Amino acid sequence: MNNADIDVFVSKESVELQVKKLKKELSSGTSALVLLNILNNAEEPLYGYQIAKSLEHVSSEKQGAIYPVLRNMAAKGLLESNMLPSESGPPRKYFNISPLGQAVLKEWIAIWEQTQSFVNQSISNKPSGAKNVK
Amino acid sequence: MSNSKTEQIIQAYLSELAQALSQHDKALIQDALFDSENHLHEALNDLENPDKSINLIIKNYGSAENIAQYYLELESTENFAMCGKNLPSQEANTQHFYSILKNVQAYRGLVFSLLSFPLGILYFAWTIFAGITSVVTSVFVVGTPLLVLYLKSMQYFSLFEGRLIEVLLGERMPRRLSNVTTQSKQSFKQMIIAVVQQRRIWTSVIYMALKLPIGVMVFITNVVPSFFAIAFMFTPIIDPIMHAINPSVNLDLTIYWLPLTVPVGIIGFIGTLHLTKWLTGLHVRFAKYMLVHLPN
Repeated sequence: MNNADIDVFVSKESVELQVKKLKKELSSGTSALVLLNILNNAEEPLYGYQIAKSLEHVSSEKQGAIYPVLRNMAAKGLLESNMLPSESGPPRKYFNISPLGQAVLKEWIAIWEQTQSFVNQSISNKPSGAKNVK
Repeated sequence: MSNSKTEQIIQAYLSELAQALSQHDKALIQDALFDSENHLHEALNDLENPDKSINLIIKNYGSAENIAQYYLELESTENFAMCGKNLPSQEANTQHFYSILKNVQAYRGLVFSLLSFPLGILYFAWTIFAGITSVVTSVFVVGTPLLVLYLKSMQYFSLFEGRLIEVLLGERMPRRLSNVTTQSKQSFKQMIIAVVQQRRIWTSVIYMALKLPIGVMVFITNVVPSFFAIAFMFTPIIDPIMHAINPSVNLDLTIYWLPLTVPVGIIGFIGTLHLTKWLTGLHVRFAKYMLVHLPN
């Protein structure tokens, strides 16, 4: 293995680490928004497994990641929860969005749209200062 | 794969998860185990799920280490103010005798002490009367469901008590029912054994029975003295009320006594708040030991 190969190997590792870091940060910042939106659009209360299943093909996160977020949002009053017995096993905890959750979701979506537009703009256009840097 | 083999894998996964969280709050461990166990069983019972392999289900759910991480991250970053877990007070070591008057936790402890008495009566009545009835009737086969129902009711009582402790005393307690592992295909006998073998249910029974003497004790040590302390602070108002209710009372605390009764009342009230805070702290430790499920 020559020095160039080692450089490539090391830089790949660093890139992967940074990619993983950003993915994690984005995911922890947006998961509450996504879950709140799912429950806002749902016609009836949903239980954890149903939500996990609906995200199966669109999220790269593990299914288990949603449960602490749901629990956290319920504790903050953004969700209302209700324990009901199930025919096939242990009782299920059903979640639905609370009026506070609906108000918060509206604000979160506005913030998300602003952030999205800002990020899109900044990555599609070169910053004006960059042209002068030689 | 056989049912028992699948159940063994689930239990091994749950033990691994409990191990990964073992250094942390017991109530958090119980929540994480509840979520995980329910999810895995839901996925296994889901008829639309093509992947019936428990290993694949676990892989999609997340490794025990990953899941533990999710719970810990959220608990440490977001949960403090909103969900009852207190940030360590920086002033804790520099507090002086009077600062307890500004301590919300002590007042909440007083409310908890006040509620402990009637709740103690309720818990005791249910624990003893329903308990004895169900134990006696369980000698006959027909009474066995009553005993199971009674033991299951303890889970609801301990959840309620836990919620009350978390809201009033700020200690993290389970937010969901503890999960007794029962499979849909289990026989009734196996279900009874699973319920009866739950150590936590029995400790809950003991807790509920002890709540009455504890409730009476904290009522006498916390609530009654604070009531008298407040009465002492407001003798010009309390004195006529006292005489109106019972004219034969020999005690006459006129306004001239005010310079003496007010400081006595304030000092008594502060002392009671300190005592309340200390006793509710002990109660929380006891409740946590008795009501929070310890993973095997």
